[in-house]
Amino acid sequence: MRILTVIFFLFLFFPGWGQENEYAIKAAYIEKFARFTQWDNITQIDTFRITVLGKNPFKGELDNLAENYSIHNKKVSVRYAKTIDQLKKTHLLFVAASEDKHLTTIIARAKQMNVLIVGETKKCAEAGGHFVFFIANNKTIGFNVNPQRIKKSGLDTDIYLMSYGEVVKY
Amino acid sequence: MRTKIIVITLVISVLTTSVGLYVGYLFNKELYKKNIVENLIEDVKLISNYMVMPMEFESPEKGKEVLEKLHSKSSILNCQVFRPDNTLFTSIDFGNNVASEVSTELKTNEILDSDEYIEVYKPIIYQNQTYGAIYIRATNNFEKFQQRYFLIAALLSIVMAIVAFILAHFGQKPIVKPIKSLNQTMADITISKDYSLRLPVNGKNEIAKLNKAFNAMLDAIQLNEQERDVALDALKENEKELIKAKEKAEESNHLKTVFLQNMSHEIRTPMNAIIGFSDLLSNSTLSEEQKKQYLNIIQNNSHQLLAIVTDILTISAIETKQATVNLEKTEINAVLDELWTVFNNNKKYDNVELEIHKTLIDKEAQIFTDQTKLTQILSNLLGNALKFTPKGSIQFGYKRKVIENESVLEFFVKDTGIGIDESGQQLIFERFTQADDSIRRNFGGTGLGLSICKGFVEMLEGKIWLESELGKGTTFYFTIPYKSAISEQEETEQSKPIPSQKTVKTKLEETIVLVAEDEEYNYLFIEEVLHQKGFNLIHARDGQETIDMFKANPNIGLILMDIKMPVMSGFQAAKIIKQMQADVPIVAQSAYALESEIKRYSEVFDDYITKPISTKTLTQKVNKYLSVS
Repeated sequence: MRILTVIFFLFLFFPGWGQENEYAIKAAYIEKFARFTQWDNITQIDTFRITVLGKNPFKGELDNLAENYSIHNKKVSVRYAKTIDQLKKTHLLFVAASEDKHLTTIIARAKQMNVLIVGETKKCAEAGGHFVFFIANNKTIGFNVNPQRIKKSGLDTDIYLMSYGEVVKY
Repeated sequence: MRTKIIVITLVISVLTTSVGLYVGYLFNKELYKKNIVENLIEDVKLISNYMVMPMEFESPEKGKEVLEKLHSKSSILNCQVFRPDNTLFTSIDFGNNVASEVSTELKTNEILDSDEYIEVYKPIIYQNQTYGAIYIRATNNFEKFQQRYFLIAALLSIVMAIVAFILAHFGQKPIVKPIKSLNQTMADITISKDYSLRLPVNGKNEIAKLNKAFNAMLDAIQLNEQERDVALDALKENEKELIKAKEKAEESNHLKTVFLQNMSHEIRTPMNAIIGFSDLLSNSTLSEEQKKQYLNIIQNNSHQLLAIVTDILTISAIETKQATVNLEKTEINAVLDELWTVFNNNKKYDNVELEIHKTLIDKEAQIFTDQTKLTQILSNLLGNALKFTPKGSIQFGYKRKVIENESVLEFFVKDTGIGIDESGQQLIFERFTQADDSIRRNFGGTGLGLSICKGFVEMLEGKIWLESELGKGTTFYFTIPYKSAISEQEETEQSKPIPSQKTVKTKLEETIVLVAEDEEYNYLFIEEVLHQKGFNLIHARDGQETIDMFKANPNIGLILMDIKMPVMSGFQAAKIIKQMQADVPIVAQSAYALESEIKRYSEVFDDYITKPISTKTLTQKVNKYLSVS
């Protein structure tokens, strides 16, 4: 956790370290999104599941996360799906930039799954993604948050987490 | 009063307000501090919560943005956020520029409240995870609070004072007005001394009770005043009477002294003649004519002496109220005739005419009165008139009058004598006084005659007065009630008891007169007189001997009993003898000449003779009871 935080901290203030480090930061963000959000029946499950849909940009960062952290005191499992059809039951869905063309379908599908949708493009945000990363001033990573969509999904995200991001209403 | 009430109300109002405000200040001070602390803690909690994400995302900039939101809180001076390892995460300073150092005490207590600052140090814990700690320093703004509070307090005090003044101004009227009224009434009473004034009693409030109590007090004062006035009047009256009595006593004392001197003179004068001529009589060379002349002088002076003693006894009886009135049928005309005869034959001056004026016929002139006293009054007045009238006339008589619906006889004795001046007229009826001392010197007399007249007239329910002009003469008037004896004459005669006169007809030689007398000379006189008349006498020297001799001599026809005797008094002896033989006549002979005594004797004795006993009286009395055949 401390190492990750240090890395996160370093990447945050030194974004020029490269694009490959961007996803390490985003992985750290995803952990916080999951930690500060409550799912129904979260206590009854054994594993917290994260699914990456589309072309995986994390290159093992999420796997590191799953190995080193627990979320809501549950072990973390990361799955990868190429298409929406491969999507199985999950708690957090990361929609990669490669899936921008299928966003409408993906979001519509995810709505039915009590799942936290995290994206990385503006289109994803516009399509109704709950947390969507953006790069501010080409330096720092920020995120949009759509509280209404989160609430409609039946999720309960920490207000302070939401206040930390830029609220959007799509 | 009004000002005092207003001032008191104002003072109470200001004091109450001040105390209230001060208590309020203390309370608000604590409340204010508590609020400041609580607000600060709330701020710290909020900031802590908002600081979680910046710390989570390790974004001091974001953290500072959060802290900048404290800018609106003017009381907050600076804020610092520390990581769990106590390194500074972010901080903000709102111009205080005071280096803050988190003390161990603050870390332990979390809150430090000084007069100047409030400091809060709180760990940032979110969802059971400690993110670090936050430190905030804030001014408590207490001075501002104080200024604001005291400004409000001052304004409130002024408003309360104004309100109190208005209330007192109007509120004092129902209190002050009755008190003013009470005060005015009290002042009026003080000035006028009129305790009949009363205050109105309206309602049942305290003022009404006060007025009621005041009225009750006035009632008591008025009653006391009345009682005091009555007592004072009585006291004054008593004082006057005491003064009068004192003056009278002094005057009486003086008069008695003068009287004693006078008496001494009056008694010594005839005594001188009696003793002197008695001495001369012992001279055997005197001729019969001289002896007769001397005896005549002795006799005259003895009578004069007796008259003086009689006057003294009479005035004494009047003074001690022992003299009583004995009403009896009195023929006024006869009394006047007798007086005329007596006084005409004894005139001092030959060229004085004595005239009598009778206005009623003899039948109408019969009245019930005390003949003895009436005779003495007229005798005294005539005696005076004759004494003070060297020439001219003396008229005396009476008229029947109705004065104040009362039928009276108004007697008068009018002379053309020396007259009496005005001051003399006022004193003339007083005892032991004469019009002036020269009268006594020139004319003699005790000065008791007119006092006796006045005393007797008053006893007879009449009045006595005089009219006089110096050098021209005097007229004395007196009245007595006209109680006619005509209509009651027969009845009186019928009811008149049979005289208890006991006449013992016996032969002279068989009759014994028992003379009870302890004084030898008195007995010798009686013996001399009665022997000459042929009576047999036996002599007892005390009461017991008298009884014994009476028992031993059945021929005793009369007892002449002295009163004051040794062993047993004559009074006691007479009572015993009367029990033994009621019909034996006992005649008292005593120097006790008071009327009251004589009256007492009449209960036991058949008659009395007053000492000094004259030959004529003694003979008359003995003859009365011993009608010798």
